[in-house]
Amino acid sequence: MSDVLIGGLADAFTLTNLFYILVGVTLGQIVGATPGLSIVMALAIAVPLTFTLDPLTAISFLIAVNKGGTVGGAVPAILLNVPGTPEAAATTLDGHPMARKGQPLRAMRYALYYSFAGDLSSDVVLILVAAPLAVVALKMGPVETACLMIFAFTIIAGLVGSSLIKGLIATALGFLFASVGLEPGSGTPRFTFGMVELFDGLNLTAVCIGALALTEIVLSTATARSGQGENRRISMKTLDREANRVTLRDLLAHKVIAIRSFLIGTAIGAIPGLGSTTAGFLSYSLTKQTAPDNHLLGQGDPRGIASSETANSAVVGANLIPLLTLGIPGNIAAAMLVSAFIMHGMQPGPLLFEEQGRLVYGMFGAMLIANFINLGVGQIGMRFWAFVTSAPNSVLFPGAMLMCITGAYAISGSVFGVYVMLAACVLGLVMQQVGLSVIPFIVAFILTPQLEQALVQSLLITGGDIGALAGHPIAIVLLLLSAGMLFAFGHRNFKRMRAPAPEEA
Amino acid sequence: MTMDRFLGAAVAMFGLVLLFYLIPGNVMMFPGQPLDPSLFPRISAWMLILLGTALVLSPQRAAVTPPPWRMTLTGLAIVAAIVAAAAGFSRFGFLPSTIALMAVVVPASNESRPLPLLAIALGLPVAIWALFEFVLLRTLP
Repeated sequence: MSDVLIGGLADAFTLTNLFYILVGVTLGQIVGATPGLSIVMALAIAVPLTFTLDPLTAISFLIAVNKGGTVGGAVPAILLNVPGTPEAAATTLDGHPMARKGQPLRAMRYALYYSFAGDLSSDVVLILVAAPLAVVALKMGPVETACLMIFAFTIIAGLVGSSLIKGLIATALGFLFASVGLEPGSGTPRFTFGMVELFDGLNLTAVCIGALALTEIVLSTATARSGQGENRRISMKTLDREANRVTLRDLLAHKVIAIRSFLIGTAIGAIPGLGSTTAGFLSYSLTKQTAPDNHLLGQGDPRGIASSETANSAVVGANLIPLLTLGIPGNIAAAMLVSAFIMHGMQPGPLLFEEQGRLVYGMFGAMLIANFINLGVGQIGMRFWAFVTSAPNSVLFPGAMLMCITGAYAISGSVFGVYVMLAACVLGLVMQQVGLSVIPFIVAFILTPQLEQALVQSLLITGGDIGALAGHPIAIVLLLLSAGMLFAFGHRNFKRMRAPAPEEA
Repeated sequence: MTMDRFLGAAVAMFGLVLLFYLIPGNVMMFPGQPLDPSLFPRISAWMLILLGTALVLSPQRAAVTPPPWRMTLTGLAIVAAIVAAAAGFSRFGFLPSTIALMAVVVPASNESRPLPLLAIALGLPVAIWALFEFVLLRTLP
């Protein structure tokens, strides 16, 4: 075991890995600092770039992009009052007012340091809890696995989006699209319409890029056309050096807030369906509620930046907990990572520790390194990323779009992959338009093959007899929890429906 | 009829079409199979029927404002342009198709000055083609 751990961590310290982590962090920070480009877009652009890399370097690179994007998102939030990524939305509340007081570098430094602290701490939690949780997960049989997935779908459908019913509809669509191709048990073709290309099912990466990234890109292009999103940037010239300094004492002054925010971010990251944006806002609102002088929050108070940035960055490591231990992607970025894992021959889940333990610990090592490189690149690059915020949309969106198209072609090796990506994009656009969240759809699409396999095995074990469940207490608990969650989310929706509609301003 | 009721009706209808037409016509069955391969698609179809009906009966109040229809339609027009470009890959090759695509998409992202438009429409496809061909060693059409 210790050989695997030490060997894995040592694997992360190769020159090639360090180089790709540096490139990944830089790319992530630049994309994060660019208003309109999200971390998912950065990952969609980055996934095809990993073709020629070995699995550890590829995953290290993508994780570095993810981490860099979280830090970079704070730059436009502070300078433009527009979050570069949704994760940094709560940072605008105090970051921008501080920048308007002539302290933009101070605000960005606070954001960087607290982000580093949150991310590093949650990575340590991941490293400590992932392996023991995976051991527990390995003890679960197909019946428990099927019930666990049903539980995960219930949580995701209930927490993401505006309603439980719509969340479950999106989940059912995910089931349906994932059943295209040969049935895993018997190899029977399903919904292939006589097309050989569909026998392997819909390409996961192409679907993820289409539904998650390309949908955002085409909508952003349409937004750019209407002239929205143009903002005035705060100048980085002629800054008072002393007023923009952040000392260790300044940082430690808010240590209680930072620790609380880290705990919130880690807990939210570990729950599938919630993400960095929720963590940032929840942590911020708690800080505001508990502060005796809460009138100062919203006026450039470092406590606001500390709570938002620590929490949103703590999600990055923690959202790999359900992914690595149970194979359940916790959010959109994790869903994109799953497609990359599978592309490089890895199946996320508890077996990953058993079959490719050295690779997992290599990845943990890379995550720790990426945090320090993130800090260094942010420290040096902060002033430069400020210029990225004014990059023209006419280059950004067409460039990102072209990378998605080329990536989908390269991944599938044919134009068919591009068509799959475009179909997923159209579905994503329609789903957004009618108020269905794409996240339950993607998570269901990713998990359906495992769920179907577990269901088939469960039916074979139990012979379809519900009474046989009595021999599986964990499965019963999970099913009861799912039913409880369904009731709770349904009740919440019912109350929301009955409440009087808010009046238009 | 509200948008949610319309959506619910459409989802339930799709579930019925799936259950009675698409699944029987597109999921092959062979004798001697231990489990019906259409089991999972049928679970999806029943979920869609039941949830669609539930949505018709209890429309939800949207917590998130959807993008304006105009934006979605512009988005769909961009997707149509990408479909046309992808269809041209095998006939005209990657570069001519993507340059033509960029000539449509770049003006759509609010760039109307002729020189930058030309530079972006030519430069981006060439740069990405070179990246995939020479750095990533992936052959493009």
